[in-house]
Amino acid sequence: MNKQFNICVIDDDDIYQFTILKVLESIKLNKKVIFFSDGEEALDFMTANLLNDTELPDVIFLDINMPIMDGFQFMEEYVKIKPELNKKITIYMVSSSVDAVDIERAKSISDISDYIIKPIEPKQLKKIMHDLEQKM
Amino acid sequence: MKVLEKSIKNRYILFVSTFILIILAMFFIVQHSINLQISDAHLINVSGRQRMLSQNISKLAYAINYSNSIGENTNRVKTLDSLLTEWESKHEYLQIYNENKWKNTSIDSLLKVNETYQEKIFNAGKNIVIKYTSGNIDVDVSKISLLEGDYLNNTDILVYEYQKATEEHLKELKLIIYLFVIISFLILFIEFVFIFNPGLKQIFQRNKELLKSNDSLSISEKKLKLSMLKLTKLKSELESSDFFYKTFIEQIPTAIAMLDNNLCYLAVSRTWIKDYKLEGKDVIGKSHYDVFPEIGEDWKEKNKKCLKGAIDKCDEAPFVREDGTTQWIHWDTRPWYKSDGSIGGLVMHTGDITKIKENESKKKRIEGILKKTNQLARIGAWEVDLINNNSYLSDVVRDIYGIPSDFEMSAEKGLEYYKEGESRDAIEKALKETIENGTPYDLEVELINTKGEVIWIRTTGQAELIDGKCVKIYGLFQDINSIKLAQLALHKTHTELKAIFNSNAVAIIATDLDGVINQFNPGAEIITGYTAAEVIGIEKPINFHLKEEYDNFKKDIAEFYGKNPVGFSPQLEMSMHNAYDTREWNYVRKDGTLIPVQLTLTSVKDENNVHIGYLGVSTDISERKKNQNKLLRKNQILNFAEEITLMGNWQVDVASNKVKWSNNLFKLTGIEETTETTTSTYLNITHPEDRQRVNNNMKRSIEEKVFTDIIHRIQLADGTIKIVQLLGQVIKDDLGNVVEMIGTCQDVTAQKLAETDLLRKNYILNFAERITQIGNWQWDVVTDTLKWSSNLYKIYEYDENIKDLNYDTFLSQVHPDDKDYITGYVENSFIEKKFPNNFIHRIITRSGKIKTVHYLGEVILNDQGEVIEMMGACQDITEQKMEENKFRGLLESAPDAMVIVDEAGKIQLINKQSEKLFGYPSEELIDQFVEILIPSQLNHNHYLDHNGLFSSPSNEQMGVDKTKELVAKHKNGNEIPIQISLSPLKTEEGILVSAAIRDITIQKLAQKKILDAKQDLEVLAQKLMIQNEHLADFAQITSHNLRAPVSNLNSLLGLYIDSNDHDEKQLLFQKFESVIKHLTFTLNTLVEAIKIRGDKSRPKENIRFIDVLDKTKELLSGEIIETNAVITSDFSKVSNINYNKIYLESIFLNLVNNAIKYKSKDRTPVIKIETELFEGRTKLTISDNGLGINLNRHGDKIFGLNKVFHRHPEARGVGLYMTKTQIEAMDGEISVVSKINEGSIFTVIF
Repeated sequence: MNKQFNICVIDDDDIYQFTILKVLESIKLNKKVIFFSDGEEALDFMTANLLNDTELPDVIFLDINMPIMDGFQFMEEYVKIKPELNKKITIYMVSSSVDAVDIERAKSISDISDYIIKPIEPKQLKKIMHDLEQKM
Repeated sequence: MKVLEKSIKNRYILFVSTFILIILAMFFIVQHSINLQISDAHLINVSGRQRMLSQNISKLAYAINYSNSIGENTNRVKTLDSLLTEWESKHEYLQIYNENKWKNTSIDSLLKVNETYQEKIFNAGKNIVIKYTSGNIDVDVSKISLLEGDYLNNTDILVYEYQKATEEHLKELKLIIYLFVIISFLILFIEFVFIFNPGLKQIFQRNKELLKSNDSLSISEKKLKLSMLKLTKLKSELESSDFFYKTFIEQIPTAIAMLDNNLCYLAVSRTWIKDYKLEGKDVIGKSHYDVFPEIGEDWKEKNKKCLKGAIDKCDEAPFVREDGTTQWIHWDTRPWYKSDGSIGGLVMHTGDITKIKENESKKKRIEGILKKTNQLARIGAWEVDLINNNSYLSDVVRDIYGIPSDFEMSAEKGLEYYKEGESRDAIEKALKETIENGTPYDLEVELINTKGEVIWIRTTGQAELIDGKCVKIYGLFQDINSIKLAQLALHKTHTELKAIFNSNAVAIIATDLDGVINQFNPGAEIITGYTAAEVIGIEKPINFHLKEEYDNFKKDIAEFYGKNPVGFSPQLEMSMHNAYDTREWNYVRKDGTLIPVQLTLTSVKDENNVHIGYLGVSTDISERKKNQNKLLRKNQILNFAEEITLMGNWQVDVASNKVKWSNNLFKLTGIEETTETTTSTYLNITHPEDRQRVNNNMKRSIEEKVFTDIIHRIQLADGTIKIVQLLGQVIKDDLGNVVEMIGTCQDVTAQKLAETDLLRKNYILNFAERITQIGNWQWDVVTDTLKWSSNLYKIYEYDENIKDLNYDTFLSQVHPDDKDYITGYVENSFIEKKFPNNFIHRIITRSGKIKTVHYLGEVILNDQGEVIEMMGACQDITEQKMEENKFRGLLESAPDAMVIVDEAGKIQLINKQSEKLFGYPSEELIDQFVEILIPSQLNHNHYLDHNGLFSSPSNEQMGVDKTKELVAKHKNGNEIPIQISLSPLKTEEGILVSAAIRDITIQKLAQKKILDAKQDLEVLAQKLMIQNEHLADFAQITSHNLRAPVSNLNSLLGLYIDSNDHDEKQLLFQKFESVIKHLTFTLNTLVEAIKIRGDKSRPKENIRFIDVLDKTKELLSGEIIETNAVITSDFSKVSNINYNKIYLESIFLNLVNNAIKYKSKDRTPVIKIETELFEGRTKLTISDNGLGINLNRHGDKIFGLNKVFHRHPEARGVGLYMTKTQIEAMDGEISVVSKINEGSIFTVIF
């Protein structure tokens, strides 16, 4: 129960990073929040810590629209490294896009637990974190 | 145990090696001390010798001094010198030894003292040696003698010292050895205590354990032995009980077998062995299925069930053994249980019931036979219960009645079947009698069964009486129809015989054994002229015969039986052989005249075959005789006639197969007249190929009782082949059987040959006529007689036998519609005296068929020029006509216009559709060139003028797949688009070309419309697609680029509202600012893009590329200087462009700026800008050696808004979006190729 909960936010929008951090801070949980500005950075981090469960995130909030490597590209790469991971990682796609194409595409990826449209409500985030905590 | 062994071994090795080491050490110590002792002794010895030497020296010195003999002295000096040398060297040895080894101070000091003496003595000695000649040696001698005493004393002390030292050495040695021994003991003791002892202890321990286990082993062995004993006991008990069971089972008088779980025999009873014929076989221990391999799977299955506890019983079943015999057995198979309640195997108890079964089947068989017999004899039983009027009828009875088995029969009903009249009256009466008086009956009466057959039956009836009253009648019922009929037939025959006997035609005379007449019928009275009363009991028939005839008869018979004719009774002899004799006799009548008779003599026997008399049956043959004679005469005439006509006659007696030939037949066939002929004689001369046919003909004649005339070949002995005709007749007896055949045989060779020739010719003619459907005719005009050939009859379907044909016959067959003009034709031919050549008309044949015939003919004139005859041929052209009509019909019914053209390109035939299509009536087109309809066309005429396709039609050029679209011409000059397909038509007149032509004006129009519509749609679709793309892009932009900042604003607002901290609010407010800024920027970009897209009225001007580049360089001068970028350009191919200046500048700025911005860290940026013409458009390429873009990853969105591909602080993702927007707004395209870390090439096509 006292295990540290790793939250990973992959989004190039610093305002979003700021706001989500604020909300996460308000949740009482032994946690660590890591931010990446694009998919590639996040992927590099995960590849470097493949077997390091204490560093690997428990949950990822993934944006679609990012430079270098966007959310979908990240998912393509993630699927490749997934078999080597020992840790179950829950991934939420969080995007401001309400484009049905994007939503459908995200839902078709089985590794994505849900698609959340920005702005993410503090209540919603709290519920997600609570659920994840229950599962742990 | 191994570990222990190893550790003990290790310890042992250690111990032994220590021991060896100690011994070795000891050996070295002892060796050393011995060496020491030796050297000590040597030293003492040496020092002793020194003393002795010094004495010798002094002695010698004296001697030399006191001797005058120079010779002696010389020797002495020599000795002295050597002694001195030895002395000196020994001394040095001692000194060195002591200095190096002993280091004994007292010895050393003594030696030093000695040395002083020695030196002096030595020097004195040496002086003596040198000076002895001079004789001045006294001083030296005195010196020596003076010193000698001291030296000797000192040397004595020295020897003593040596001895002392030696003793000390010995003491030391002793001490060392003691010490050594002590140490050795100590080591060994320690080893023993710490190393060897624990091992031993372990061994002891182990040993103890071993002993212990040994003990327990022996105990368990004992136990084992005990249990073995028990086991043996048990086994023997078991064996004895087994034995008991075995013996018990063996003794059981029924067939029983005990099997284990594997179905192997444990025990079997003797009966089992006997029942299954297993004597001499040892079955115990063997598998049941091995003993009985014939056991089938079904039984095995049953056994398996029994092994699971089931009980299998069967009362009877056939058991087919391997040797093929069948045993009927019953069985009871059940499991037996062991003491622990488990199933130990099976017990089979069986019984052989084959014998019983056989008896049963025998009984069944007998019953069957009985039933069969009943059926055969057709005897059945019946009974009628009079009280309730029930009846029982056996199957046979029902069968005789012809009623089904479920038919209810009552007494009344049964009576109805009897034939009315006699039969029914009889049965009714009999039944009445039986019922009333109990009288049984047995009647033969007629019955009419359900099939309507009248059958004779025998029925018996018997009453069952209770208290004198009849309650039941029963009896038998037999179909005696055949018997009865036979009886009746016999009766009839008898009557007939009687009639014969009494008839006048046959004379019957019977005698007793003595030959006295006892029967004499009326016939005999007539033939002989005697009355019966005159001869019976009085006369003997022999008196009616001529003596010589009787003698001849006697002789013949005697000869036949090989007897002596003297005293011989031919009748008696024949009676013994049951023989008879038939021959012609002449009776001597009462009035003395002779009458020829045919008499058959035989003996008469009673039913016991006892000879009781003789019988003679004779007929008057005088009439026959007369005829015979007549016949003979006629025969002679016939022979004569035959000779002339090359004919012979023959006669076959069918029964005896005897054949009589006329003389001429012998001549004809070249066979000797004396030859005995039979049918086979004739068959032998029959030509081999005809033999079978002739033989069959003969047989058939007999069977069918009609002789069929036959013509065939015969082959004479000399090889001549003749054709003969056999004519004949059969002669039947009273019963209608053929008894004889007679006939003629005529040589028809010459006739036949002529005939065949004619036939052949006729046949050929007929054949020819048939093939060509031609007949010929001949009309005698004067007599009005018409003659037709056989085929003409066929054409008209007329009976060939009708010969009286005339003109009316002909006319009557003409089709009514054609009659008028045919009559006209005929009349005309008389006037013209010429037969018309188009004499074609229809006829109606006898069967009603309509045919078309074509008459060809000639008229024959007489001298006066009058027509007297017409003759010619008539051909059935119905089929040709039909073909033509069919073709015509086909042509007309074709949906397309059909034009048939000949090889010259002239139109031969067109159909109605063609007339309609081209506007010409058919007459106007026939024999015109096809070009009237389809003018030569530049691009097609190479095959569609009459020198082209129409003149050399071939399948490759024509056919459906060669359908062509051409233009045809209407009569009114209008052009018609047509589709034409050509195919060749092979006809007798040469090859024609048939062209199917279809007007495709409507199709053409429709096609054009569709094509136009399609083109419009494509343009529209293109436009829509572009619009769609833009819309999709815009959706993407609003979704990502506009919603993102808005959602950020929302989040910030939420935080702002929740926040109570002033500082935090301040911070949040700053964030608001940045978001709003970003949003404003994005909106501006978008607005600008939309403006670019929407504004179509952008001013264009002629711009030089170099000017634009210069301006770009100017704007980017700072960056260029900073990065040392090298920008080269080549606008030589296309130097100017008519374009919007602002856009072009913006495009250049963005692309060049990007090339510099995303330069490689390792390379100085080199940018090449070139223009060229590409498909009539201007192409601009800007290539760099920068970072490059991963197009696999970003290819699809490189030109999107806010798309960034490098972590560059200035990357904002706007430049390329705007560039693309501008280029596309001007209807251009932009594309990129790139390779990571090599560079990118942007290509703009304006």
